[in-house]
Amino acid sequence: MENEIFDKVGKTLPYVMPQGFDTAKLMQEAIARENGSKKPVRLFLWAGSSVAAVAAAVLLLFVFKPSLVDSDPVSDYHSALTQYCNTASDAEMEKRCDMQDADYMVNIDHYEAYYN
Amino acid sequence: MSPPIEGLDKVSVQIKSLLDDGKKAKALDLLSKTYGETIYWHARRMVVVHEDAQDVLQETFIRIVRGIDSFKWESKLSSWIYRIAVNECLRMIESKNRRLQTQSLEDITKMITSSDYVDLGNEAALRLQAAIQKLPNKQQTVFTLRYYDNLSYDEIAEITSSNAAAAKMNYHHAKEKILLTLKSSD
Repeated sequence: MENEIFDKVGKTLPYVMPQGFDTAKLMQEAIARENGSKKPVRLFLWAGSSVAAVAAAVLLLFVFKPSLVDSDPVSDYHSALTQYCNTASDAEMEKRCDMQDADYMVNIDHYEAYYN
Repeated sequence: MSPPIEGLDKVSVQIKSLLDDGKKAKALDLLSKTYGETIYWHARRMVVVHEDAQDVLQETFIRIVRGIDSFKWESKLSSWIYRIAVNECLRMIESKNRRLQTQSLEDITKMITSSDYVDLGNEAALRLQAAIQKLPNKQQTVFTLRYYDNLSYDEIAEITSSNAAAAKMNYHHAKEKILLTLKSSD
């Protein structure tokens, strides 16, 4: 008795679906909308990640190869000195040695920098 | 192709197979043809207005398009779709801020009849829908899923993140409230 309304109405609805309403079409629109909105995001992600990857690679290169940023003064000095000694004439070498012996600061610096 | 998962219904097997073969558009087309109208009618019963039900369906489809690739197939596909639709309906109801629970049956009936695509000649059905609209959201959801869509309490529990006993209780409370509302308005 209490369920009379449910028995009477059953599952009938007072609503009507508009003619031509197509749920499959809505799905097509949803797919198109998703594909449309995804592209710029993908491009942005690609561009962003590419820039980040390049930046990280450059950074790592400097971290693991510091010579690219700041060349080693010790090895540079020695190679330049060796090259100079090999090519300089005896007279020039003698003159340089006299100058260096007379310069106390240069000698102390060299001693501390390269032999300590 | 991965082996079929036990307990999947025929349509779910077909949809999964199409997805496994990389035919996502076809899989989604089949999904929309299978569940589209069911979801539309669920949404329509919940949000009343056709345009709102259409928006709910569209949002549900968008979420399905986004999430179908990561769907685990451990639960029923229909339960997953319902869950998305139920959430979208509740989101829509919240956004409309209708507060129908505090309104009279007559006012709700007027609200329903003022929208498009309504059968004005079916007064008894109109009154029943108005009484359903007066229910709290959870009871309305559970009642609609059980009464109109014939879902089991276990399925309803899965969809509403609840348990079967709570779903059953919600359904019976809802039914009692509907009867009381209709009786008191006579």
